[in-house]
Amino acid sequence: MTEHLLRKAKRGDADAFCSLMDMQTQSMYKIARSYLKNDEDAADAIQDTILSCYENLPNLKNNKYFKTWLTRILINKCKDILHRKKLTLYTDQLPDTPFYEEDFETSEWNQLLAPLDEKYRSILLLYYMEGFNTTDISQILNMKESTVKTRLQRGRRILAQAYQYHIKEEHA
Amino acid sequence: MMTFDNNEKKLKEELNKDVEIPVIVHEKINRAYRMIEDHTVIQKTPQKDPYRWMKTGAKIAGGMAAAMAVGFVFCAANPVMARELPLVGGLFEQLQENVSFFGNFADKATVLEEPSQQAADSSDSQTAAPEENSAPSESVYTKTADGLTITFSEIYANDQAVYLSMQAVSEEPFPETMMDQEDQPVISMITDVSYSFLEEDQAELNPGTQYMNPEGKFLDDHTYACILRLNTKLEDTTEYQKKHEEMTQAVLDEMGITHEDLNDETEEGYALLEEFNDKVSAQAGSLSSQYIKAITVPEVYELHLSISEFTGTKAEPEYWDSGYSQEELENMSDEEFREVMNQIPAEYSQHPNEHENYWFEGDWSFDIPVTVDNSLTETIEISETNDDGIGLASIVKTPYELTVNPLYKEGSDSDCFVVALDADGNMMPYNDSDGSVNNYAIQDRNVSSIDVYLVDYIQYMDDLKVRYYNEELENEEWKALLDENARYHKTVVLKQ
Repeated sequence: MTEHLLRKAKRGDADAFCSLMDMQTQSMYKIARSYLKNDEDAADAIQDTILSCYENLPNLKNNKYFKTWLTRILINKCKDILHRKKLTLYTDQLPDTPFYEEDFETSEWNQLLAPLDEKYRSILLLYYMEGFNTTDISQILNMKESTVKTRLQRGRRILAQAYQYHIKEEHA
Repeated sequence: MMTFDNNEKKLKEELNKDVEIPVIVHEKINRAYRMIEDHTVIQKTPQKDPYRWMKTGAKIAGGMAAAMAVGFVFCAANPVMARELPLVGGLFEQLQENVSFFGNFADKATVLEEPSQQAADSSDSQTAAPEENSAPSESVYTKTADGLTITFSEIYANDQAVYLSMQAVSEEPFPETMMDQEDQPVISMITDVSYSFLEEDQAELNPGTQYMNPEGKFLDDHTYACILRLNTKLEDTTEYQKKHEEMTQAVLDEMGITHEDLNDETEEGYALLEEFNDKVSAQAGSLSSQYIKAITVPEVYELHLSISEFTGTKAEPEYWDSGYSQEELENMSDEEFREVMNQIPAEYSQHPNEHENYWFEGDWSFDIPVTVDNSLTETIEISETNDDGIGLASIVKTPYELTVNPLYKEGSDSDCFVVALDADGNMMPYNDSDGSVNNYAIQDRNVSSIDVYLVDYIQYMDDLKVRYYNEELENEEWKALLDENARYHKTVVLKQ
């Protein structure tokens, strides 16, 4: 279904484009929130992404890269917002406090990623939620594939430790 | 103890669970959709000639387009509600100058009357002049919560939609409210809508929880009035989708290939794709005509409508004061700035929040009996096709909307786009287009007759539409272009 929606959307069919974007809402929201601290900023990033995607969609040469392309636009929009707010979250230190708002009630997936520094979080999100491979992720995040692999490995280890600790508590 | 692999599995499951998307996100998404529909944002012309492979790919899309009809209920409803709203009775007459409307049908709408034992009290309160600002007692069509009384006063329904006039009266004066580009108050509501005529296995066709932006105005400091349009033109595409899948598989079997053989990356794959698309589109059109079923709307049913939040945006939102000037903030180091920003109270990040919004939360639930009036619905049966096997099945006209139903015979190429011109040659903007049904708002147009064109989809999207908007064609030029290029054309005379 995505393929034929995409083909129609590339020709300016607004209904097809809207349907295509509706299918991406969940993943766009999760990715945006992995970068941005609040829903309003995430909403701005998503709105800008949708408009940019619509404008430039006819120039997408290969439809199979649509998801990769869309994700890259979204992450760049998130970074633009962060830059404007000068809230760069990249740090070598793990955060002392959770990144996410306390009222983020549907945050079970979010809590899973909370122990991670942002530089690992986005990679794991793209890897596990979106199913991108390391090559795709390197293109989306504009970094070397070796860097993606290293951070993926480290991030997985951190989460494995977090899980085992959690499991031990359950079985105590 | 869970192994690392089990951790990954659970991680993946958790990450892929659906989460609730906040209202502010829906709001901004809908705003983007409107900018696209209003052509505020347009697509950039591709640098190369439109990719050939997409022409054949879209032939599949034309046949499959109708399959999206079920999913379009939500997508289509919100934009239409904001732009095309009817006038009903006294309340609508007050809104006439401020909202888009289909037409004045004050004589056609009915007043929602309270049950007889409450009729005396309730009708007095419902027809009370807005400036009285009193909160009416609870009744079937009037509910109060959180200092806000919502009343539905009038209704008109046909088999396409239900139109309701709504009034919201606040005990305290409404704060000054931001106005949008169309000079209407920025108001939103979270609603839940369902129709009693949908069977249990059709429940997914109910609009469900929606984020609505009603179109209306303030009658005074305490009273907001608006119109709600609820779409009831629903379609069941279950059988169509099944038949389409069977048909495409039959084509693949006939060609001796699988989906994996179809691609646009090799010459052979591309050739197979073209042949596949031609065969599929030859059969898809007639399938949509045969198997897409309109959900029958009974003459009488019940509409359940719940409002859980009514939100307005303040005219002058209060932004958090960091205590620093803009210049001071810009000159800070990243660390200093981060420290300042970390002090932002969480309340400024929520939506709605008291600094930017005012809102009411509660449960305003209504069960509204609906009687469908089809006396003003005119159905013109045409049932005609040309030598190419394409044409018109019928046209349905209500006081507010026009629906064009194309007809595609077996073997015809159904990849068409419907364009309609009113009697004055103006193009009619479509409300809902999914390849099988095309719906137009009439909006005070001269529809004594209409010209219906079926145009090749690719040609319309890639060429004709672009010329229409870019060259700002006059009506005569546009009609001439359509006459020259359309695959089918008919002028239909309609009763007034």
